[in-house]
Amino acid sequence: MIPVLNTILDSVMDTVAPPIPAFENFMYHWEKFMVNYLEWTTDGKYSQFHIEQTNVPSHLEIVQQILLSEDKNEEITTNLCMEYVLQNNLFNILVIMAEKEKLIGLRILILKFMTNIISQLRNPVLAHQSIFGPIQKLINLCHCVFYNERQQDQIHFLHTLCVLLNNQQNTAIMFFSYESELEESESQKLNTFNKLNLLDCILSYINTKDTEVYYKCCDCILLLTKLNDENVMDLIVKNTNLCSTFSTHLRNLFHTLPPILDYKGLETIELNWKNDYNANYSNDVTKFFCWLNFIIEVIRDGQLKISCSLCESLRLFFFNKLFDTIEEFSLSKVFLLKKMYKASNYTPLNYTMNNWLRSEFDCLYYNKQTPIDILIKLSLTNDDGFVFQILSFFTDVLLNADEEILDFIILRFVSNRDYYERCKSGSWSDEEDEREKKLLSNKNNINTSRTLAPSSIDRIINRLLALIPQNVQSDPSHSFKNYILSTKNNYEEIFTKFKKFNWPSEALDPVEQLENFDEGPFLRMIFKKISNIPNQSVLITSQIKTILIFLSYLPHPYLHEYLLNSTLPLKRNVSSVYTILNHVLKELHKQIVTIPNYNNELIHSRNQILKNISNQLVFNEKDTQAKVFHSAVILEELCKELVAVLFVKYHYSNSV
Amino acid sequence: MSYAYLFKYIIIGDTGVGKSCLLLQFTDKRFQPVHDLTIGVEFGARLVAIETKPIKLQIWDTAGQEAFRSITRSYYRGAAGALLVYDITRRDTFNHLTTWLEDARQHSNSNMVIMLIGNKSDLEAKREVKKEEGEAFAREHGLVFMETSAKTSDNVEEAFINTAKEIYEKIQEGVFDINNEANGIKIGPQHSTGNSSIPGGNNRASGNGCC
Ligand SMILES: Nc1nc2c(ncn2[C@@H]2O[C@H](COP(=O)(O)OP(=O)(O)OP(=O)(O)O)[C@@H](O)[C@H]2O)c(=O)[nH]1
Ligand SMILES: [Mg+2]
Repeated sequence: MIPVLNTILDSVMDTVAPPIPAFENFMYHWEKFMVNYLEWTTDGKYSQFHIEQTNVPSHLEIVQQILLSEDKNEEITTNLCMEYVLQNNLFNILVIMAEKEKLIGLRILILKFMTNIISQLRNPVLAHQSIFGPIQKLINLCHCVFYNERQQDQIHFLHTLCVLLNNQQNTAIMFFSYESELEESESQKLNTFNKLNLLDCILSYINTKDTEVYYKCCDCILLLTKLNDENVMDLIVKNTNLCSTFSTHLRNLFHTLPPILDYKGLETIELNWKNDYNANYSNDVTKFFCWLNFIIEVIRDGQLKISCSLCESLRLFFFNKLFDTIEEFSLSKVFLLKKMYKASNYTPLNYTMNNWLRSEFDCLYYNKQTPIDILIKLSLTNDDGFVFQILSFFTDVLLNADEEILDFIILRFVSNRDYYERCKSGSWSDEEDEREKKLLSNKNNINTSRTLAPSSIDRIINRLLALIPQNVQSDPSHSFKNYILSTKNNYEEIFTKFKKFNWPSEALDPVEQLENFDEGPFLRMIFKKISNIPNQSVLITSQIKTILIFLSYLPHPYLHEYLLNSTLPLKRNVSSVYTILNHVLKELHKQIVTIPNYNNELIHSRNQILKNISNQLVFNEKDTQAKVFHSAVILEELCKELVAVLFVKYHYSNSV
Repeated sequence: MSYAYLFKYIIIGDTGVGKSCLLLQFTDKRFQPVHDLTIGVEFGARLVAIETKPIKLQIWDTAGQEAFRSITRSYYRGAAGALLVYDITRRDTFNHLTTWLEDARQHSNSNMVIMLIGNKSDLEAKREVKKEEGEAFAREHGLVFMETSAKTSDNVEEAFINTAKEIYEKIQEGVFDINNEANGIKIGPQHSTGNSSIPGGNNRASGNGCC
């Protein structure tokens, strides 16, 4: 400190000569402050007194006022005081006092002093060693685990700093462990942890019991992850605990969740960290969903580089670890996955989850299976509630329209047209041959896709409609007209969404056809569920209907003809929607017609179902008779909707 | 001592060329043999006399390391003079001059005086860049040129003072708008104005209280 003293004297001699009141005043109060402090801590002893019992704060207060008012009037006076502070590293002296805290309360006093200084100076020179050095030391003194009592003041300081960095993004790099090498050895002696970077310090607050502190902590994280500086992004990804803290915290919260959740209640709620979190009163479920919501916000709004590495960390340390042990995919876990999937929509996390869903687990227990494989298997169980949850998750996954997921679940199985019986000379292929000749001769004349089977379309539609015998129709008009408008809107939307995919436009025969066709585990499961309609919950049946209709919308030629063209010659033993529906409807009808007054029951069921479409479906699952009627009505509507899809697709392709 | 003008300088150039040493030699007449990497920015100040007028130089020393480049850039604005330094014993520091110059021209005010400095002239044996090359570069880009040694202090005074002279001349010619602080020039404080509005001014007596 001796050379510093020398320069102090020099400077004083230099500048005091013509009296400049502000500077003189400043020196006076600074010296008073020092003397006061030294007197209270004679011989370096730790004082029993609280700072408020001394004159130390009042002198520091005046020092602060002078610095700030000098800054305000800088144009007319000069910034002599500040220059003096910087050249003689006075802030560092203050912060060393704060580190030692020989007077009770000194640490917070100086923290508040520095907070005021950096927040009120017009241009705090954060990059200057005499500023960022002390600030870095103060960051060390704000670690929530070591300094727990004055969280509000501490986070206020950190938050002030983050706001500043957000305004002067180029200086942010100073606070991400670009500590000066020379200071390192010095600070090692002074601090137990010498390289606490700003973000890690802030992360130490995520378990705080003070809601206000929590909000500020989250806000700080958002500010820092948005900083647009390549170096800072790299340092955040490589040198901070952001990613691991986020994943671990999510996992911890996940594990405290109760084994059974209020699924109905949670289905529609979107909990928001800003409005719904209370550090004291929130239950574990709220805490989990609020944290999830916060993570998603960081991923959505943060710098892409940071978001991506966060997602990767979530994949490794959250999703992969979820089923690390022999832990089963339980109902609640599937439900939570579904909620997370929904929440991740339109963010890079969605991509990560899609990726994870089709990647093999490498743990022994799940031996090379993907989450999708496992979910498909589990949906073949008889636990209706569980199966419903899985199917509803699958619905979201399909609707999410990820090209690779769709390919993985369904398309790769149908894309080789292995279901098609080639050598059989049926009327359809004759007709198509005929068309082909016409096409070759006059290309522009007919622009309807061959896959849509223009010459058989009427037959296909009629066959579907005819699946429901007249006497068991709940609606005597038995028309699909009501569906056309909504179907058309849906299809246009879906068509534009999927246009970017690299799907073929026509179903063509492959060069090499496989002997046997395998529809893949997912379609197989769906078909099983259709066959099982008389025995399963109506909720499941209606979920199956949703999936089937969505699939029929897809402008994928192979899937289209396989699912919808009942006139297409199929190989032996190849299941088709049409034959399965035919089969199951026959069985339902057999049961229905034995019930007296079944027509009234059908109409009653129909009303119930139409009423329930917008609300959650609530049915009495115990009433097996009602189940039969409900199922029949659902299938009746399914057939009509499929017809509407066929109709719209056909006409849409003509008009495009 | 009061001053007529305050000029703000910035020192730029690759890491290790001797920027901080030049500043230290100029303000404290000392030499620092170890390389204390500059982190962020630092500054020093000294009073000099140009044509008998006292002038305060406030000199911002920047970090040469790439990671701090964007901080350095924010200090060009508001500088009246720049010392662009290379190391005559390291050819690469000379090769990077163009980049530095582009940066400076892009972020500074157009009147900023730039002095090109080939430092470490005491290390003649290790020289990699000839003096003529420095001169040629300066001529080509309209800079003033000088070789210095922060170690022996050779030409260090001259480098800072000559820059100040150029700025002063430009002021006399009316090139600089001295009322615009962004130019890095400030008029010195007028004779004591008895500024009573300074807070704490009335509190002096109370400071003696209990301690
Ligand atoms: N021999 C000799 N060595 C010098 C001279 N100037 C600086 N050095 C040495 O060069 C090294 C770097 O000097 P600094 O002034 O710290 O370099 P800098 O340009 O400030 O570097 P950054 O702060 O990283 O941008 C030190 O080891 C100095 O001792 C000189 O004129 N002669
Ligand atoms: Mg330096």
